[in-house]
Amino acid sequence: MTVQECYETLGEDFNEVLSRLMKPELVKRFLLKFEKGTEFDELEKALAEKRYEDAFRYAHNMKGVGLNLGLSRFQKSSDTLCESLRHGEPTVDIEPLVEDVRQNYRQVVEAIGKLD
Amino acid sequence: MQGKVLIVDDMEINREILTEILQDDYSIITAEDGEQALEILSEFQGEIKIVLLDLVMPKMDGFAVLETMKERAMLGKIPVLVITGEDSVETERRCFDYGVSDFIKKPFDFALVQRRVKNIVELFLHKNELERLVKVQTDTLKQQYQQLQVQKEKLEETNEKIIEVLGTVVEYRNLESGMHIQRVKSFTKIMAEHIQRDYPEYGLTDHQVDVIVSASALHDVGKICIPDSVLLKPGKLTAEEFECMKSHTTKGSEIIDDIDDAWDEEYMKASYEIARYHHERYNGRGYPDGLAGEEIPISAQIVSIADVYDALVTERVYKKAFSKEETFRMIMAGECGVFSPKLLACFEKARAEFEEMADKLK
Repeated sequence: MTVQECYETLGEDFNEVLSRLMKPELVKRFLLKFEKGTEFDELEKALAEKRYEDAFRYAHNMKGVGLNLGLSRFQKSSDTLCESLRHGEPTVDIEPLVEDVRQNYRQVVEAIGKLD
Repeated sequence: MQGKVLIVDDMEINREILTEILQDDYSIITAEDGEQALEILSEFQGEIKIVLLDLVMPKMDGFAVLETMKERAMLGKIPVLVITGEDSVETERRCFDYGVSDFIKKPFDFALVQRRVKNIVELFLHKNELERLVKVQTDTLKQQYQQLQVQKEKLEETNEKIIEVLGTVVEYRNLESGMHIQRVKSFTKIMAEHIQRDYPEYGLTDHQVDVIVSASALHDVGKICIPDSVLLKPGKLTAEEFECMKSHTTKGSEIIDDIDDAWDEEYMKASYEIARYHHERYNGRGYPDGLAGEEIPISAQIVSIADVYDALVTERVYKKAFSKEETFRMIMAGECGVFSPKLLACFEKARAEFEEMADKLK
C-alpha cells in the first residue's frame, strides 16, 4: 500500500499533508516514526496510574502529531481528551474519550502497518 | 559557517520534522526538554541564531525556559519562535510579553516554517549589528566627552594658577598685605553672592561669581611697578607720589593685557576690569578713568567695596585699624568714596558676614 492509499483508507486528505511536507517519502518516514513511538502507551499508563499532568502532556502530544501528519480524526479525539485533562483530575468520565482515541490510534497503526 | 538552530520539543517526531525542514540552511541542535535547552544555550550562546521552543514539556516547560532566558538577558539577542498547537490568544499574549518573536503553528508547513525562520534570523542579525554599531559610537562619544572634560578642567586649573602666581608676587612685593589678598577675596565672595541673589539684572552666574572672586586676587597687581619709596612709605604721600601710587590701576590692567592668549577670556576680562577700575567711584570721582554709575563694571564695584573695607579694618603703614563699627559707618556715609545704592544695600545686609570674616582672617 502506498502512502496515498494509506490516507485514503483512513479517510484522510493526503494532498493536504503533501502540500505541507513536500515529499511522499518524508510523510511515510514520519508515519513509521509515529508507529514506533511509545507515546500512546505512555498515555494509557499515565491514565491508569492517575498521573493526570503527564496524561495531559501525552494527549497534547498526540494531538500535535495528529495535526502535523494530517490524521484529523485521531487529532480531534486526542484534542477532546487533552482538554478534559487540562486542569488536572477530570471532572467527567473520560473512559469514552480514551476509547475514542484508542480506536483512532489502532486504525492509524493498522493502516501504517500495511505500507509497502 | 552555518548558524545553529536550537529545536526544543519533547516529541521526537516534531523535532525530526523541523530538522528536515531546516537542515539545508542551518546546523541543527535538538533538546528534549527545558533543562537540556538551557544547557545548550549556555554552551553555544553566541552561535545559536534562533530557538524553536515547544511550550508543553516535561521537567521544565517552555515558559520556564523563557523566564530564564529573560533573566539572562538572552531574549533581546536570540530570537525565539514558539511552537504551538493551539489557538489560545492568552498563550500568545503571554509569549509576546516575554519578548517572543513569533509562532510556528501546527500543522507544520515546510515552506512557511523555512520562510519564518529565515526572516527572523535575518531581522535579528540586522538588529544585533545595528545595536553593536550604536554601542561603538556611544562609547566613542563618551570617551571624547571625557577627554573634553579633562581638558576643560586643566584649562580652569591653568587660569587659577596664573592668578595665584601673580597674586603671590604682589603679596611678596607689597610687604604689609600678607593676608590682604585672602581677605579681599573672602569679602568679594560675600558681596558677589548678595548681588547675585538680590540684583538679577546683573545676570551673574555661579561661574561668573567664581571668576570674580578668583580675579579679585589681582586687584593690586599693578603695585609691583610702584617703587618701594612710594609703596612702602609710612607717612603721607606727596601729590606727585600719590599720582604714582594711583598708576597701579592702569599698570595692573596693562600687565593683564600682556598675558593675553595664555588664559581664558572670561578670567582675563574680569581681572582687567578689577585691576583697572577698583578705585573708580559711583559719583565719577574715582580714578584712573573717572567712570561713573553703572559704567563701572560690577566686578570692579564689588571688589572696590571689599578692598576699602579691608583697608579700613586693618592696620597699614600709614594708619591704625578702625573698629568694625566705625568702618561700617564710614563706608555707609560715603567717607571713602561713593558706592552704588545697590552695593550699599547689600553691604548693609551682609554686615554680620563681613565682621565675622574680618575676625576669622585677622
